[in-house]
Amino acid sequence: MKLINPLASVKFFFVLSALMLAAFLLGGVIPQGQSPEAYQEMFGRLGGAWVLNLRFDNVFSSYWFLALMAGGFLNMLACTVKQWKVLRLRPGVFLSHLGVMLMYVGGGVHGVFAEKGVLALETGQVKAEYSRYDGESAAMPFEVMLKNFQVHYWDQEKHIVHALKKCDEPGHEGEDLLESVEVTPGQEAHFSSAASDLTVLKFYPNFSIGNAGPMTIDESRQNPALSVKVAGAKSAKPSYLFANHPDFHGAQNADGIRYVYEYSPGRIKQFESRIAFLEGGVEKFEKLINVNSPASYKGYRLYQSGYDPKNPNYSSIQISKDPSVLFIYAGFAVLMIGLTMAFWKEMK
Amino acid sequence: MEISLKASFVFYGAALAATLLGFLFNKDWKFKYSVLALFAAWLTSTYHIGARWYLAGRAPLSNQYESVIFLVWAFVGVYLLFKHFSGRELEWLAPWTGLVAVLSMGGASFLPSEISPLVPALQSNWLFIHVSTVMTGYGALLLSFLGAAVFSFMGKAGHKEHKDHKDHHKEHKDHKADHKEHKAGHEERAKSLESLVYRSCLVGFWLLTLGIITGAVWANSAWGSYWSWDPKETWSLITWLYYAVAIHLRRTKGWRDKKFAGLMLWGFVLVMFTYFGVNYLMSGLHSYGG
Repeated sequence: MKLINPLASVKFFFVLSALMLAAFLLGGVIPQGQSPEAYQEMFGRLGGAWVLNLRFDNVFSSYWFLALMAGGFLNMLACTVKQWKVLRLRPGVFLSHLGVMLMYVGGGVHGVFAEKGVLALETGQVKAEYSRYDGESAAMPFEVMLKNFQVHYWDQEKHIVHALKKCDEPGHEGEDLLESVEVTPGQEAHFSSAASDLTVLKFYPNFSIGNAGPMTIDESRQNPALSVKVAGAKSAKPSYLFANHPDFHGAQNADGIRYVYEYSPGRIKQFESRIAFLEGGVEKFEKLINVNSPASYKGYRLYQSGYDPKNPNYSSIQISKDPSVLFIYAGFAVLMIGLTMAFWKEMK
Repeated sequence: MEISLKASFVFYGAALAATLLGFLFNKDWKFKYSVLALFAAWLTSTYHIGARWYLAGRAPLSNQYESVIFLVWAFVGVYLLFKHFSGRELEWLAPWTGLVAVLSMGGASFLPSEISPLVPALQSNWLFIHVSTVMTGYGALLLSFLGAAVFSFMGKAGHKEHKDHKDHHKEHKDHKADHKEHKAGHEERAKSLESLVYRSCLVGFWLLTLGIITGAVWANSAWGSYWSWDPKETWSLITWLYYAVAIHLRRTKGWRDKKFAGLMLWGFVLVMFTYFGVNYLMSGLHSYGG
């Protein structure tokens, strides 16, 4: 009982709250999870060393922050026990405190039992292990196979060719834009201005020069280029237009009109993976997952988290097994009921 | 659609102008017409939000521009609700509400307003539930801030006015009754305002709690993690804890009137930083909302 009084005191609550606010501010202001070199650059050699020693680089998993959280839980528990007779008459306040306590418990359960990591899969690949965030591998009681991966777009990518002409007026430098035309690889593009028509021969998503000449390294749009043939050009060889290098190798017609290529990527609508869950090589069921629509199996939840623009067959899937969700959600519900009851009385 | 937004801007301005004209010509109707203009502005804003929702095919809450328009709508809506349930007590706050709305909408006009398709993470019904709850909470806390600012100003102005009145009545002792009446009116107004500051804080805190919870549930269904200590989450928690402490200070330590008003003034600075500051100064999971 001697210990319960200071633990349950309002003063202790205010002190803890001030410390928690300070901790949140530290974590909210100092960038978290950076390299030691980054902190040295930000705060100097000595300041950077202090940031690391005091764990300000990972405030929310530091020993002192966890101690603060434990203090918060004990304060609420002691307050509830000590003030039970009063709180019984004020169920709203009691439930609000109980809700927060359940969240503290949830936080503890999360720290001890939660498992989380990434499952990196390519189409057709089967895996029974995922990579945890600490770099270790963890086994799953089943296998996951990526059957298919697709990226959907709001609008498709666009290839636009701008025709530019050097400014003739004396005293004016630079180029005038004559016309911009959206082109399609394999088709002829018509210009209604003085610019000559051109035929777009081929699209290279990631242009490079190989042993056999121009080629694309992969399907990623890192160095988009077009090979074109300008109508009326003397040379029979195609010209190359590069989106990333508009001034390099620009095709020109006989009148000195230059062509510049602009690549406009499509806006991503959704990316989704069709995955199958297997046990001993036997498929149990399959599901299409996308962002906001995960799959669950044997306590594990699988979330679509990313893709690789360089590799259209690759899908990054986040995997999580977190028994704390039950406590946290119960805490949410109880807190809201408690606050509603407590405030409703005061609003009247 | 844009005409409805312009109309609401004009009506918010009219709420302010009605009071100014009323004061200028010493008319009793000044606050009544201010409230009417506010209601008209709120209706046109409702139409604007509805039309944008229809055109976009989703709730208009996906960027800073859309959220500011919604925040102003929620703020005025919360004020009108409080006014409705308080009778004529809070009528005189209408021009101040109009002023805040005009300034906020003026600020929103500098933000990009085009309707753009949603990124995959935002394609969820939780977008409406989470953002509308948080924004309505911010609207209630803005009302609490406005009430606190007026309360603090009234305290100072009232004190000066009271002193002038006292000096005046020292010379005319037969006006004692008038002085008492004036003082009682001032106190009554301060009392209703103080009550508004506290009650709107409670509404705002309740909605902020629900907003954080719905955000956590959404995050868990989208990413498998209900809390990631992303800057927006951390600053929301700072704001939440601050208001929780403010409510406890009032209930357990009796911090009322000026002290509580002071807490609400500083609290809204946190709200503003969480809402705007984090979007512009820090990157994180909420960056697409900036």
